[in-house]
Amino acid sequence: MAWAVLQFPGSNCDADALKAVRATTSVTCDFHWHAEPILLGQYQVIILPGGFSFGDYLRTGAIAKLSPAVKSLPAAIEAGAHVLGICNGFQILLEARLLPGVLKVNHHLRFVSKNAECVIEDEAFPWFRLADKGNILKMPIAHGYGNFQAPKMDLKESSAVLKYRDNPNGSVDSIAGIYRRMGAGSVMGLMPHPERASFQDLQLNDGACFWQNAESNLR
Amino acid sequence: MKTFRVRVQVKFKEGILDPQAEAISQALQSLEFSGVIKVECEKAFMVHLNAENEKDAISQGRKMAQDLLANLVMENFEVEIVT
Repeated sequence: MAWAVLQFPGSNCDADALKAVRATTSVTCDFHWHAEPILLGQYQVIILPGGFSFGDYLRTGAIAKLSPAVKSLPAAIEAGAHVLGICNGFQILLEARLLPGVLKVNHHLRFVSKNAECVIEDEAFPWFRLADKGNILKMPIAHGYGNFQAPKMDLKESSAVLKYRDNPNGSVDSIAGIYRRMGAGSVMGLMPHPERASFQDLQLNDGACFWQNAESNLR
Repeated sequence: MKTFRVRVQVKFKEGILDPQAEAISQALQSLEFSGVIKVECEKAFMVHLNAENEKDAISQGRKMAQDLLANLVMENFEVEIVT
């Protein structure tokens, strides 16, 4: 079944994500414009890319959560789709309440742009297997609003599957990414950019495991 | 139907740290405002709308805050009619 990369006005990691998936897997992957609802069973994997969405007006992701594609996500996930939100895409998933918590402005108020080492803390089908636990992934981060905060209780239904080794933004428990099962599908959000670390010629290809794992685990 | 101006004021919940407000507070203290103890940043939206009456206008404003204008995970809101 096909994969899709959603496109919002302002997405700028959409082409990177599509290219990363195509370069590292043999799945069919195409863009999906935000104004079109997603049909049940249309996609196996749906990626919400980084960048901006609707100028990030009001709050990051606050306007994007109202788009037809995002509104149709809950039903698609229940029916078996696996959703991955990267950076701005993570922020959209939080605003849409598909994942718990908020991303606040970085505690030091500076934009961070660097490579960050993250530890896989748990399995997260189809992205990480139990055997991946403890592995370290080096991926770029580039954000002003990456300071993840969530009430303790909220994190019970979700798991903090990815943590920074060196907390760059003040996130609670150094959380870089969270994951939850939902019906027959799943939702994962993370601030690091695996799609920018998926090519060997960049000498930074730890992110390729996301696409390769998902392809083999969903086969 | 009457036209109302509804003011929706959104601010961080008690106990949520706001590094931006903290930075502004320090900046004010570094000017001649040494008496500044704390700064709280708030957002306000003045919504012009048509409603049956004041109660209806307030209730529309509250719904707007819940659905879009505020993120209830970290923000509270107040709604009032401005005359």
